[in-house]
Amino acid sequence: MKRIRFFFALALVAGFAATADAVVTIRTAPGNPSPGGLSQCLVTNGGAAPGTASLALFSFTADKPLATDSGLVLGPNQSSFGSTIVTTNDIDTNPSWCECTVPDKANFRCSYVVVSGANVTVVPAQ
Amino acid sequence: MKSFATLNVQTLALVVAVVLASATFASAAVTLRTFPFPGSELFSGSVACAVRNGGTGTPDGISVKVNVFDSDGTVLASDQLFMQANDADLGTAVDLRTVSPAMCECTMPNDTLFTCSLIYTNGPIHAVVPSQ
Repeated sequence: MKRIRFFFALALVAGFAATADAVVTIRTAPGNPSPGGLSQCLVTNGGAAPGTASLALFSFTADKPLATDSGLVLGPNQSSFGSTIVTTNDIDTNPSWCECTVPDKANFRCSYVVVSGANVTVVPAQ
Repeated sequence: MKSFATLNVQTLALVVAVVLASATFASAAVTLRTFPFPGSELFSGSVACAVRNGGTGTPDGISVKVNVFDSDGTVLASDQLFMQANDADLGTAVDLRTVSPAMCECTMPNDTLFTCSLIYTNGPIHAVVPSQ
């Protein structure tokens, strides 16, 4: 009986651990890039199993995303790029930050990037 | 027959100890990955993985493995680095004219004294992408 209770408790604790790895939404800090660059959200799967991610690129004041990309399937060590938005002078439409929904934070990474010529800005999501 | 609701404190404590011990054992070596980098949007400059050891070393150095991946998951460069005390080392740089790096992966003894980054260099332009 003790052995049964031990394994029951083990399953209970393992269940809590598994729950901690449920789908998570992570966001970057906001940027306000200069006009003329290209911005997008990026996601990477560093794990051993495939996973699906969704990306949303927001501006400063817009209530809804400037661009969304859903159902991005990433295999092990693969990266995927979200829609590209040109940076502008208009703070309402200038891309600022990313929201990424990923299977877990342990294996997946997400960033907001701006490329302007050879200049690159990468803002991590946490 | 006793129900599972009567799970006693000793059993639960034993289980927690077993789980914690296995978790500690599993974290003996850690793999850090940098946040994704837009290598496919850049056509000049280079990218390399860098590792720092903020702790002590060994006579032969502490072994760390670094890989640069492109967005398809292909390894563009792979290095085994041997870290001395308070040391930082670079892996092989890849050329953005020919390949499109997306992230670095670093396997190291721990993530308290060791850390890893992706470094982009293009003339006077220098960007550092941290890992987690």
